Amino acid sequence: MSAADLARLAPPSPGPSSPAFRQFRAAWRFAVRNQTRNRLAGLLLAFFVPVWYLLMLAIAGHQRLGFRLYATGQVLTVDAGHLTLISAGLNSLTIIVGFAVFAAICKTLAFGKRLVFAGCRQATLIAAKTLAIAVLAAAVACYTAGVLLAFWRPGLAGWLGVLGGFTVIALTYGSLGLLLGVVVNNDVEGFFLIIMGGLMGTFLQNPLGAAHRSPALGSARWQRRSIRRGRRSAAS
Amino acid sequence: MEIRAKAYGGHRVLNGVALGVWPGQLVGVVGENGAGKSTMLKILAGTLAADRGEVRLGGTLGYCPQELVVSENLTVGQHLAYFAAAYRLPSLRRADRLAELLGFAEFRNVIAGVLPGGTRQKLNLVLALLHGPDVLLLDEPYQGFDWEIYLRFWDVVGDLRIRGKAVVIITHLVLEQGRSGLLADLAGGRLTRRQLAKGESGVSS
Repeated sequence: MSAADLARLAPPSPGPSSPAFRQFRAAWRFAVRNQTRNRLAGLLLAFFVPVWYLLMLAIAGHQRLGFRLYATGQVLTVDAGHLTLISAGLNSLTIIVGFAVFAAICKTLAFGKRLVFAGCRQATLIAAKTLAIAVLAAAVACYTAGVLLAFWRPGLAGWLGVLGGFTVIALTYGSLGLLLGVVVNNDVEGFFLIIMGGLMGTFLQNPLGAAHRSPALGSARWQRRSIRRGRRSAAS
Repeated sequence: MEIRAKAYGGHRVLNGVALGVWPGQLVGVVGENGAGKSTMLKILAGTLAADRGEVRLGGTLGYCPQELVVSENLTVGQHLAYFAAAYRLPSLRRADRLAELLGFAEFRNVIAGVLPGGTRQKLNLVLALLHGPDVLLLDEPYQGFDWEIYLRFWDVVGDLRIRGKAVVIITHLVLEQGRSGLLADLAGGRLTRRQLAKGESGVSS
């Protein structure tokens, strides 16, 4: 190596005095790239979501089902197929978003620490990663709600309601993936916790899964008997 | 630096280590596997806390860990840009030059996950060198380097010393031990001077 080569290696002088925005922009851009390069999560989105909708709808049928919504006390009657599709969407989101975020955080934890050690502000890094996770979770929720339209056209207000629910659960499980990515060291443990958390979250409060259970476990339950009773009294 | 004690569980790895490194000085640390060399460097770098003791640092610090700490999904260029932002560097000129010198500039658009092992190690090293730190801590930084790149690595280290930078390097190659101005042997949790060059001093047990 020549002296000229070495001369060009002179240590650089410090850059702009307010680097927070530059660090945030870099951290945000690379956090998004890191998330979007998860091929398995991409494949799950492309194939698992529509196949899961299809399978769940195939076994559900379209009978009318009633349940009491404990938030209002009203008995609601819905199409079992539609309810199943919403459950399938929620179920897909808990697993895909939880898994994708957990994997990304888990794999980049040491890298993030090295960046902080290099001078990247911890608050900037956390804010950029959190924002990237929120945007991606919302995008995945939009996609899942969009695929739903291939199986069911609920009308704009209904679809926006479903989209809102999907976005909330995607953000919730994105946050769970973030938390587990930081506190759980082992991949298998993390995936197990996400799957179990997803099952509990989507089935305990689900009218499909909470039948004949204690109201304390969920916000709604089957009220077939009360509906039958109501029908009988209406007939008499 | 003075580390009075560092233990994992009940096993005391470091037991009274004192080391002073001054501008322009190169200190090589040798020792058997499990002697606590990497633990000592982590404590020096601030990524691990000693049970008792203190580390005093004057100037900026660069640390190249033994394990690869890179993001598999980011390209080489993205790594350099990301760390340049972290170090608050105005440009990537030095990063590009280091990548050329260490022979991996052509991998700029390749993600780290598919890089050959030696190239990943070069990237791991350059991330610690980007800002021209005043104190550089290197934990066996040349694994997988070919001979020519290995020699260039030592040219870069020599250049840093000329510029008044202090370098601490963990090594177990006999070949390199002659390059160190000061050689310290870590054994039994204590650091002892193996060889003294040019009247330099700074290692005590």
